[in-house]
Amino acid sequence: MKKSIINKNKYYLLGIVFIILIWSVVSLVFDENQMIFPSIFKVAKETINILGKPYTYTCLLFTFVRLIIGFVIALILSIILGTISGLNTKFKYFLSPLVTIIKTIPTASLVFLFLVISGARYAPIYIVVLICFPIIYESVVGGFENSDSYINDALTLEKGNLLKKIVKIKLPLAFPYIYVGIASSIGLSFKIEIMAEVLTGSTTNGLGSSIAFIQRNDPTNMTGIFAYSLICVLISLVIDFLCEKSKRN
Amino acid sequence: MKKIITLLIVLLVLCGCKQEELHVIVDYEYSNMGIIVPTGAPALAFLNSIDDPTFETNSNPKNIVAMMNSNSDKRIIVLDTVTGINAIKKGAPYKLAFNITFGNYYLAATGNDDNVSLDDNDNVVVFGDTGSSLFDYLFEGIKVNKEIVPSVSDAAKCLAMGKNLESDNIVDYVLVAEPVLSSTLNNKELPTYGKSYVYADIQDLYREKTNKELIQASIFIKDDNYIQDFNDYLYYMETNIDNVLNNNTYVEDILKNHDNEVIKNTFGLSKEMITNVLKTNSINLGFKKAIDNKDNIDYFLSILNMEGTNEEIYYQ
Repeated sequence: MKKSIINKNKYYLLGIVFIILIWSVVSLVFDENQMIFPSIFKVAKETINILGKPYTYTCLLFTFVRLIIGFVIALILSIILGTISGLNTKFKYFLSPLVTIIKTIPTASLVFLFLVISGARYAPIYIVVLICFPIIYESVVGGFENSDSYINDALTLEKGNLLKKIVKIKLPLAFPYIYVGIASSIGLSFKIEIMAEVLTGSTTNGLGSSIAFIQRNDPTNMTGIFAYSLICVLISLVIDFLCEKSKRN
Repeated sequence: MKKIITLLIVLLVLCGCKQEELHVIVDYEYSNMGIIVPTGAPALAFLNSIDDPTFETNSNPKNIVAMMNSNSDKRIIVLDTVTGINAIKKGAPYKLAFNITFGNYYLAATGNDDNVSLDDNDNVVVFGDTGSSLFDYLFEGIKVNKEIVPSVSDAAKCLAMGKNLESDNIVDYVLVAEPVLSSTLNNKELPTYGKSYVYADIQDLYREKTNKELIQASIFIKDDNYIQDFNDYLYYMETNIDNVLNNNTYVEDILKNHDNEVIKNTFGLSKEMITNVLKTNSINLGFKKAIDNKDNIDYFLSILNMEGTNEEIYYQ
């Protein structure tokens, strides 16, 4: 077991070294001035510079708060509607066209729609809700549909409060599926939220606003964009790691 | 899972604390008006609104147009005059109240033109339809190779690189606006640094040709039941703009109380750039009641092949 973990880490590190090598080659070959594809050293230096500013953490905090608000709303809606759909096939089919539309409508269209409805400041929150909702909803429904049929039969025969049965038995049984939905939606919604902040043009504190500002301020120099992207990648890795760890727990 | 939930709660609490620190409500009677302004020159007229929680800036003027609807909580919108007038004509429930910037267009040379003079067959980049029409009007008779880019930041890229990155054509002259112009000319890392310069002040050329002033950004106010409340506020704005232009201490006090990153993000300009731009007023910030300026506005619209305005669209 220990050997397999070591091997896994070894290959993971090799993968990172490979990316760094490709990056360095492209940077040297593609752009002499290193303004469009800056070297890893330039990016690392700029990343440290950005991380040294208190305002970066303000932006991170506001991005996360918007993400959390949107995510929690989506989670609550998904669990309620997913539970009903999981227990009632007719409701599931009734809701199906709406869920399909939400899943397939281009994110950019949603951004521009909410820009008009709610303004630039709150549009990212609504986008996160609409991105997370179908993923978590379907995982809740899947969790209910794939639960042990013997347990379902036993619960049908048992007398007692339906809500209690759902909360104490059905939802916990469906949790592995729900967890997969939560884990896959949270990483995606982080990226989408940053994109929404950029598209809405809002300058209120946020990572997306900072990235957009860098681009406007010096459109020819990509070092800042790469640095913020690296920060976002590192944050995503931390989120994935936390999700993995809590899954194991 | 418990750890994640605990972390979420801690972040929410931190945000609650931080929110108060960042948005100290300014103790004056005109806070909470609901203001949205594009970043750049016009935003500087609202320097003292930085702590108003309902004050917002946006880097894309088209997004601001999208917010000009009856659902909007923004009672004051600042926008390019032509764009705002078009929005009102399409039904946006706003009135044109005051003009606050009077042109910040400049024609910059990249240093690629050997004879240092704009003439036939020179390659020129302009931004936006307004910029393009203005250029054609002022330089009619000169047959240049003109390329139009969508925004001032795209134009700045062309000035910075000395070529249009999309078409890969070498560029001799670029129509660009302050304060992006100054930041591009002073950027030592750019290939055109030291070679590029301001070739012509578009405002001066316009004035010489028409004996009128150029109109750029204006304040639009929401046409709702509370529109009669705006009078005092709008004259309060006039005092603000006067202070911003003529009272260094006023500007310094506002800037020193906020982090440079917050200022840069909100207004699109660093503290240093704000101070420099306001010193010379190269952005032509001012304040004039729009209805009194109707002739200038209509003349400018005629250059863009647009119909003149009706008095109904004006706040009076």
